[in-house]
Amino acid sequence: MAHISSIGAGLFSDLAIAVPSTDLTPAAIAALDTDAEFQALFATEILSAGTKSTDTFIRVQNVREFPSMGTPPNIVNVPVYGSATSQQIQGQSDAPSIEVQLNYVPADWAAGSVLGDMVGDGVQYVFRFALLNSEPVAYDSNSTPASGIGSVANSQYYWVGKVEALQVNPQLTDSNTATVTMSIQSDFFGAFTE
Amino acid sequence: MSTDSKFVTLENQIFSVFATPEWVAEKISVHPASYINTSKDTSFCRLDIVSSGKGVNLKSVSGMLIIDIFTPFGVGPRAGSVIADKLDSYLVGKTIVGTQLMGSTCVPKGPDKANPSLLRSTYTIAFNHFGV
Repeated sequence: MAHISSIGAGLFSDLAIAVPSTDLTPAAIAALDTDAEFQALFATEILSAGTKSTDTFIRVQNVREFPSMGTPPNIVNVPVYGSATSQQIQGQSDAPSIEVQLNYVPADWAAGSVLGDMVGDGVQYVFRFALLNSEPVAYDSNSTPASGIGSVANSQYYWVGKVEALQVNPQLTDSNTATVTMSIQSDFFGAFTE
Repeated sequence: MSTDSKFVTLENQIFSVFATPEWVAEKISVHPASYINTSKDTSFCRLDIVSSGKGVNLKSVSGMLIIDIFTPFGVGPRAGSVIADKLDSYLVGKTIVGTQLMGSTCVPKGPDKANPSLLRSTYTIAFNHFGV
């Protein structure tokens, strides 16, 4: 398929985390920079109770609200002698962190599960955010796009980070929610498509 | 900016769902609201497109699809729910070219006033039609 080419709501947007059987080494992570390299890590979806294997990934489901995705700006005003207005330059941005609001399903984040053990483990993972206006056949990247996430128009963003915290927000009348905080330790790569 | 044929385009996109071979195979006809059904079908639907909401730009519009589901009175209310579930599988969360369909509801309305031998349920689903 291709990038989304029309206005629309990202009803089926998705956050996923690559969980290979062996955690990626810093050298392997540093070598990642192309769409094919990132997409290869998201070949087979597993559930939180599943078993990690080669190129497996897990989706963070029941997301209630996504934050802004991308590096925040840091515009610095620079005084210019003799000019009525200052000039602006792009400064170095603060490292962003991402907080995702979930409708909390405890079984997905139980101790011993793939997602549950990921919280605060200090391991760097590769994250994928896919902007999707339509529901794909499946969420995996594979050599036959029509049978995976490439079955619908999609735009994908990748980064490296850690799952730092999970905070549960009990609700007495609404559904229980949780806030997952992720740190970001690389640039954003994308937008890619397949 | 031209806003030509926004409503006609929307109508064509919505009705295209009910012209697909998959829906035709369901054998539940869907008529426009003003259409008088002269067939002998005892289960059928009547579709009204209510474009009552604003869109994100002049070529866009939002609103509700209101689909009256008619089933034989003696069969019971579940027949209407079964058809509503079928409508869900074709509409909820789907994107039809530039029209996105959201969540749905289904409300039993009792015997039809025009034909008490039919039970009427009203299925509604919100839509956003995006024009570029």
